[in-house]
Amino acid sequence: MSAAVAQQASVATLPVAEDVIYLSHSSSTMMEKCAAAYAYRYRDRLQSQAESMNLGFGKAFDQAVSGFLVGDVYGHDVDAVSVFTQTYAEWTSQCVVEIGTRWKGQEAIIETGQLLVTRFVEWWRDSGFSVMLDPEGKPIIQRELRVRLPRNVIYTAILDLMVMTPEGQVAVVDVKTPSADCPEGFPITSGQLTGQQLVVEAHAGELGIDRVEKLGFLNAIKRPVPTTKRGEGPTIAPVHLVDARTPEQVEEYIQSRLWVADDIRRKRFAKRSLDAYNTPCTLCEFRQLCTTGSREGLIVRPPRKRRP
Amino acid sequence: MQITHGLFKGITPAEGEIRTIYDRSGAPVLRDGVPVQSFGVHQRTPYVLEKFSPLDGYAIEVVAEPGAFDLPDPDTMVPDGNGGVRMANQPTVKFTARLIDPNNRTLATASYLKVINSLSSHQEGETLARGRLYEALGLPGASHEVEAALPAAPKVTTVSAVAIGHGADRLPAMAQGIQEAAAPDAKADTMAEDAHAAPAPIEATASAVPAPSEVDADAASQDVPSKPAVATVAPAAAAPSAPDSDPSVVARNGDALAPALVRQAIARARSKGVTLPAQFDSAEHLRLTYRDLCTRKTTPTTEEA
Repeated sequence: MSAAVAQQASVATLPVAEDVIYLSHSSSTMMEKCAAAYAYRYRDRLQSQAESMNLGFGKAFDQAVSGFLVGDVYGHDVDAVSVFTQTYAEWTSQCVVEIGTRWKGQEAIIETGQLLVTRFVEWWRDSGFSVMLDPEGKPIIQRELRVRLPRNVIYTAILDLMVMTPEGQVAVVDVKTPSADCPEGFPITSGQLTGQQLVVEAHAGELGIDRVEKLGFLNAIKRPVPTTKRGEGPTIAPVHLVDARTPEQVEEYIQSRLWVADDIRRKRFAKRSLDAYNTPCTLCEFRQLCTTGSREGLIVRPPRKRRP
Repeated sequence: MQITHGLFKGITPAEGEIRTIYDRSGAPVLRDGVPVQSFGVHQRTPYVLEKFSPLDGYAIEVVAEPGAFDLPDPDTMVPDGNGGVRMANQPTVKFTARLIDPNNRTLATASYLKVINSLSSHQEGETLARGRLYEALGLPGASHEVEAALPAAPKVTTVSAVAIGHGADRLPAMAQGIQEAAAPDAKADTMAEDAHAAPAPIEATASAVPAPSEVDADAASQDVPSKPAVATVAPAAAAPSAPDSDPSVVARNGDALAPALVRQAIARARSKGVTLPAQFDSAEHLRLTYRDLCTRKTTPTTEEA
């Protein structure tokens, strides 16, 4: 029997395959927040032509922090402040940037970023954390991991940072640059952290760990640098690591992603305005498209190439 | 997997009669987080024959007739005329299986449309049609089809998410550059160390941190960092290598040491310019040593053993 025939025989016993659905924290959360917005962004591949300053700031901060931490691991001194400044300047030169009213201009943003990076470096040196190394000795920073969930769903997460605490506990830390700290207790319920634990534990062997023990956010708060003595300015919020999710909690999260995937397969792309006090529409980049049908200010992203 | 209703109620396939099934990529096929078990046609046949014995006059008849249309065959690719390939359209045969009682009445029927793409396609079609007939009689071929028999609650995380490939670095360009530049250093560093002895990954010349038994209880819990006994100094800027090539590292008291913790301790010690003891006394000794390395504020001055 030829190989082709052997395959045919085995395939014949399989259930009918469902279309593969690719999910990440961002895409699945957008589907939950507003399915119409999900369809515009991931089905139609639309996005706003103007990019939020928050995006560029976050990218530049990531560059600076990653460079600093990788340098720290390999014993190289990296000027993280310069990395931030250069990366942010390059980003702003390449796109149309939307800046919130709390910022006086690009200089104020760069000043904030520089101070925030400086404070991050100080915080890191006092934290006692060390960047987790995989069995090859490579730091586990900005590592993309994929898992196959039941029903042909592929879930992808990019780990910002894995650390070992001074107590020897393995922790997954997600780095954010919000304008305010997250609500107390949020790390306990955050689906994003659950998703990261899920992918890390599936790749535990490759990463050289037994399991994840702690989860948390590193919130680098990007407040404008105060012009008077009042006001705190940018700061690194205290990092509260919480216990990793139980297997049941991880299963619950997986189930919730499968329901999201089902909705996508069934093309349930209804608009979800919620109520006036908590509507997602206010900050939605597709608001004009949704309300008037106009695509002005939106562009189509090129098709995505997925790694095999 | 147990049949809970119908003609075959109470049947539980033996261990050798079921097998996990895999998709084309080699991953187990899952339903609700549980690998689907296949209860094959050949394994089910004896159960059917026990219930509908030919000796009692029952018969299973399989009839083949040409399919009404051709179907694309995912296992046979042909040139599409534009430089690419496409699935070949192949002829089909419809196989119909019938269970006939001693009075020549048809008790159940099932059919299967099979793409014919090899010499064995015909017999495979007959087998598959019989399998569908068994299902029609209440003897399913896969565990997920036995709804009532599936365990309701317990789910196993490790089979719910199956890792795909290896992780991919998404490091920003600058960090990637540092890592790539440092990797050869790390390799060279490791090779140099290998050449100069150190049979075990944590082999060294002296103890940097006393074991808990060597210090008083207070010091063991708080003050250990301040009193490194002796330390030989490794290059402060040494890149981490792959230190846990021997994962069976054990402490003197027989404790198994977590490879990840050993790896982190070695890297941390190198960056601090401290050499670790040749062997840890216990898992607790390793833990305290690591904590000491993490909370130590200053790099120690060079000291020779």
